[in-house]
Amino acid sequence: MTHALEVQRLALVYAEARLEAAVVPRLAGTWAGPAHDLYETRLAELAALVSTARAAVTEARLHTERALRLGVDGGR
Amino acid sequence: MPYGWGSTVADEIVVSGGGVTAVAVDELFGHAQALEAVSAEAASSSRLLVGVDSLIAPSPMDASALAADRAISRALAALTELEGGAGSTARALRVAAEGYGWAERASEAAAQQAAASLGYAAGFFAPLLALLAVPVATNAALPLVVGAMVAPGGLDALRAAAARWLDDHRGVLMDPVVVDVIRHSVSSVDDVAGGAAHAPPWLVRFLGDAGLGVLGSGTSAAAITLLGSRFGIFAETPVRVTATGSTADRAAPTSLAERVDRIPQPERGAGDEQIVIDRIESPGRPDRFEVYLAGTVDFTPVADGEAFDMTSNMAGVGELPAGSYRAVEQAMADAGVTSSSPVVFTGHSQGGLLATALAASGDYATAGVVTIGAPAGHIEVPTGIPVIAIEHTDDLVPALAGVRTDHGAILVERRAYEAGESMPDSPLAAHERAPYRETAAMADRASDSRLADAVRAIGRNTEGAERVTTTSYRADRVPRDD
Repeated sequence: MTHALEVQRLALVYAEARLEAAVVPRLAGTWAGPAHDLYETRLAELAALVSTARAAVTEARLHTERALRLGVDGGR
Repeated sequence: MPYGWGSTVADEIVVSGGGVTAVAVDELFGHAQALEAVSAEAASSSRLLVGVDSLIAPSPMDASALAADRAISRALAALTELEGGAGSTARALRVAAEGYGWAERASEAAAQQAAASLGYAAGFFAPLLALLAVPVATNAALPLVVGAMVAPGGLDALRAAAARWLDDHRGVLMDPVVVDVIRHSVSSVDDVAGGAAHAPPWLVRFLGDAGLGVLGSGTSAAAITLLGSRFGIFAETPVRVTATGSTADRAAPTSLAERVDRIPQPERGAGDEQIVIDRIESPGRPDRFEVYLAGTVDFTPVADGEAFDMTSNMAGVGELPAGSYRAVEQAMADAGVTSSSPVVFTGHSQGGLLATALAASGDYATAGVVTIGAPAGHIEVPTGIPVIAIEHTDDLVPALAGVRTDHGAILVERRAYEAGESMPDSPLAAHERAPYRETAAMADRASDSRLADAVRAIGRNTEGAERVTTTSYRADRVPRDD
């Protein structure tokens, strides 16, 4: 169903934009202490999750656009 | 240079107070907020993807739709983990800040208790200590006196040597540890007096800062002021206020830094104004006011012509009707400030002390207080009034009010001069307005929500200003026999 795919595409575009705003902070290098390395690692893990989610959403959008172009009707 | 929470250096601020316990470097409050935002975005995006995922049931033949479905599942898994991870990390940061705040309060209380006990013991055994000190003092002083008498230059050379020593060791007075010791010593003056009077220790504690708060740095200053006035020092006089000029060509201040810029900087003996008042006018709203108050101009203990003098300082810390306080009241009345006019007080040093006392008096519709380097931590301002107290950890002037007992004010701390960097010429350099202006600008940009909320609340006093009329006032003491 083209309409459902179009809705999915728009939702994915919107999700991509929302995830652009999700920026994991980075340490400016002014704070250090026993927990510094642990915290820095945690921030890196969270930043990686943001990247993974963004990449997956972009991939889903590209596949959805391709499905739309091919005129595939996958609606219920 | 690595350092832990609670230490401050020149490029960052530490925020505490505001009625809550959390204390942290502003950067970490910013991180907590940013991670909360990331968690919220992840949750919102998850809900969106769950919604669209249910719209389509791709058939095994639709390779693209199937690939999209699998990618959405992967995104959902990452977003679920991100929502939980970012949220829990933000909570951990806030819990750590809270824990640090509690630990700091506890260590502060323990240090104050130790200083109080030491002070009580010193007072209790004062006569014995004085007797023991006589031979030591004699042995130490005699060579100095004899040396001064026989050395070329005599007393002048001795005085010059002392000045040189102070100059060489000016960093000591700017050491945050020394400043903290001074702070606790000031708070323990009442304990010394209690010990000297042989009052029961429990009674001194009960009446002190940790108990009813009847005794404390304010009471000690009041006692010194009243005692001194019998000997001609710290003796209050009437004051006279004169409006020296008025302009209407300034824009209203919109930030803490701009408010700091407007605090007058009178020179001793120059007859400069110590009080500046902005009247903010907007159609359809009552007139609002911004009052800017200078610091101490004359540091001599004998009240002369200057109203912003050491006598006003002592009376102000002692919460007595200081000459400068009465002068500001007169100037405000002249400017048209009534008990219902919204007013923001901004002051440096003694001016900050006055600003806090005026807000605490309940006589005005105070819309906010901004102080820099003010010895006013012992004055409690009613809840609901946003108070931003900016203090440098290497400035000893705020420490002269003793340990802070008002935890409702938002305290913004920063070390103005980092250890190791070339020391400024004056041991009071960290008390000067220029570094405080920098700190105020950092506070304007701060991430901490308590501080940002207070900055916004104070800023509302000048919103929509169409006309700003600025009037300057000169306050002088009037001899009692006039």
